[in-house]
Amino acid sequence: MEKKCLSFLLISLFFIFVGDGIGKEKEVVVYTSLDQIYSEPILRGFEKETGIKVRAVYDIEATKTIGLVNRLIAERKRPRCDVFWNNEIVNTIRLKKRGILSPYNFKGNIIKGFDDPDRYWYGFAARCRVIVINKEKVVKSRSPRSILEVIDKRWKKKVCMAYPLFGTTATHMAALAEIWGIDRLINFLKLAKENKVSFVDGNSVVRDKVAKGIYCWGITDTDDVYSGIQRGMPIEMIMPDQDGIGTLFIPNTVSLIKGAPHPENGKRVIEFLLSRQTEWRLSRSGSGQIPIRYKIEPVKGIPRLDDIKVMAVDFENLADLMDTVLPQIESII
Amino acid sequence: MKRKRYKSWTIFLAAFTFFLIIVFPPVIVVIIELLKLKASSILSIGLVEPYKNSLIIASTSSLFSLMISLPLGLIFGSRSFRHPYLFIVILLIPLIVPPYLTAKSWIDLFVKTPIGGPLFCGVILSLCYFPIPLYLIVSGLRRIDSELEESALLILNRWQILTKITIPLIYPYIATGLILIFLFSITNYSVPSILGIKCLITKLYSDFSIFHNLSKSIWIAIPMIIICLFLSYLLGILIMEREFISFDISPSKGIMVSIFENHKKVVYGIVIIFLIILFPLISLFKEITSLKILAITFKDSLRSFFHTIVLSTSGSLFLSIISICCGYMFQRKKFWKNRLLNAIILFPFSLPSVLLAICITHIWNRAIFSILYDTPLILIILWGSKYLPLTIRIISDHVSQIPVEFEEAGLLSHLTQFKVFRHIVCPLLGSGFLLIFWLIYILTISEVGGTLLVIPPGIETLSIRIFNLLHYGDLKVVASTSIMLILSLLIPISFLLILKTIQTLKGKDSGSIFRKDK
Repeated sequence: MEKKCLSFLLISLFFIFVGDGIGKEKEVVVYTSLDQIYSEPILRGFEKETGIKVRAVYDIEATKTIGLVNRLIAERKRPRCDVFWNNEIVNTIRLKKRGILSPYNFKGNIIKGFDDPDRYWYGFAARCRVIVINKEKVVKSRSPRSILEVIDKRWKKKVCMAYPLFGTTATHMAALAEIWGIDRLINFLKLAKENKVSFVDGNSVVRDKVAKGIYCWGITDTDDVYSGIQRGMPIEMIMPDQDGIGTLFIPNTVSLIKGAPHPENGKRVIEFLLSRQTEWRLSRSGSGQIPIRYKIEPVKGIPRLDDIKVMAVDFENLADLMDTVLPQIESII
Repeated sequence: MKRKRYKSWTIFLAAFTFFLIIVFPPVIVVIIELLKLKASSILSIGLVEPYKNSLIIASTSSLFSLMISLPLGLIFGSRSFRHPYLFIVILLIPLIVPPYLTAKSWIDLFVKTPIGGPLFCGVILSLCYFPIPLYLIVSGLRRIDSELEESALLILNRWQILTKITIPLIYPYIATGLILIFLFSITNYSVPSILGIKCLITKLYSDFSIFHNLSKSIWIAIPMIIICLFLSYLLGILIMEREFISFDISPSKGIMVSIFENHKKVVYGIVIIFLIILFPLISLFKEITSLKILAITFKDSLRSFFHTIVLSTSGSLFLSIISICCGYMFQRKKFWKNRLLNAIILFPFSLPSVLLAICITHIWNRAIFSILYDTPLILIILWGSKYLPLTIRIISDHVSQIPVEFEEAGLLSHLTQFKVFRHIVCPLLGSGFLLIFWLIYILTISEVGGTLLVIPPGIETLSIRIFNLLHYGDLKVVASTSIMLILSLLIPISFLLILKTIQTLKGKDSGSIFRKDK
């Protein structure tokens, strides 16, 4: 019995050690903050097409994006990641400013406003920051049209949003800081807290709680609302501030990590993610992402880029603002 | 002779070295960071609400566990209960189903009600962890000398016997169980995260994820560290020199007096079994409406399934072997007689795995340790740092039940200490080995918080996969993947149980236990 246990242990250790090390030249490490349910099929498609094994690290809903970003910063002296696929843009720019990214010449066209002119990152398949309402609790004629209604007394205790320290919500806060100024943003969040706005663990949690009727409406992303509608949830999407500052538009971004252990494989992943096929798949996946690189019609229920009044922001500025704004937001929340 | 003696203890010293390397570095990091502490820094963090919620969760969980486990313990611990193996198997189910799945099942039951909060979280955790105090209570009850009850029956009624004799005799087991539940609950990350509760552990995780600041993370954990230190000291006192787990479950042992009539026992047992044990499973299985989804999910999760089985099995085996060697050494060298040493050894177990993972990242994320940090071995280090103290204590308890005379006889026959250990002690530790292997296996498979922080790229366990999928809400996929998780929990233990049964049938059973005469 003991010899059998020992043999089993040795064989298992062999698989752990050696199995992990076999074929290292045929692998690539991708950190992705796009929901695993959408990003995994894309990465598996890459594996199937190229035969290169993808070692993916996904982020969890509660600490979206910022968790991976800080992991990349912590690993900068000894990077483990080859490609960072971010589901937003500002944190990618923060990484660029910290010297963690490496430039790469993408073989396709550069899209103005969605690609870095210095070629450190490229954008594709975007989402918007939207209002999600519960159709049974909110009459359409009286539904909120602006994020400013978060502080409206008639919505006291009836609104939720994700923690404004992570993911696209953090990006949204930085965008508001750029347009309004930091002081007005901080004041806005204080008033939101006084109005008993609930801060929850992620955009999908916002959608779920609104769908259950726990809250009347919330602020989340297009992909969360779209996937909820597909599943039959009693929710609806509203593009906020179309008469005002506009709706924030956030593309996915992909970048190569400086000092990546498998740079050539990383470049192949980037080419794959920026291909028409990927953007089409993301638009047709349950997340309903909005194509920006190629002329692909979005799915029904998702607006086209040309049909939306987009919030005019400079993403490079937002990256600088984020470091100032986040600690101040944290002290309020 | 001296050289031979030295050589014979080499394997134990090697195991002890592993133990020190795996378990204590994170504790040292915690202590170093605590020494850099400034009082003003803690005050600025804002810990009142998380601290309050953590205490509510842990206290509620302990109390509810007691309310469930004590009556059940009095049923299963009585002589009239004839099927001890059956209860062991059935009551493993709440431990097998990960707590976050149980939480999800109950949340979905109250789909339109805004249920949540720390109280609800505490109740959920009690439903998951109540078998722990239950097993301890049954162990205690089976040690009670039936002559005490017989004498008492002459003058007291059964309620008086239970309250004045039985329960006072088993209070250390009850207290130990409550402390363990408290520690498991206050350090559980997955359930408060699913419920969106702001408690110490979720704040610790999200804060480290945002700022990657080790010092700040440890400052946040200070209330928890103080509580854990106190509880591990208390635990050490309670279980010091006490055999707190009985490995003898023969039907002839147990109390004579029971508070329940036979039919009431059956009703109570069935209600508990259905509500608590079967409900999460039924609620999961009913989501699977088509075999096609099951097949697709199985195919997508196959890699995770493989990782889970290999990592947890090999990790459990390796840690069990370390536990046996260290447990034997600690018991024979009388480590457990010293209260302070008890507390020090148990302290790492009481710390949350998230905090341990943060410290492990700080220590091992260096180029010279890449062979550890960049491979799944880092997970074994994390699991070892959390669970080795507990499993060593369990094995020591088992070793204490083996008469020293057996080993002395071996030594007199000119066997070395190691040969005595290998040929005499090890065969008698069969049940103990199975218990700790199974315990480590279940705990490592369900572990989420710390694993998320250290898991290398490309490796994904089923628990992490399910935990992520829970947020996207596709319950069919969650349910299908959960079945794979439950299968992964059952496969190795079934294999071991079959082996043991074959050995028993062949008459090679070496798992018999001897009670130590004091």
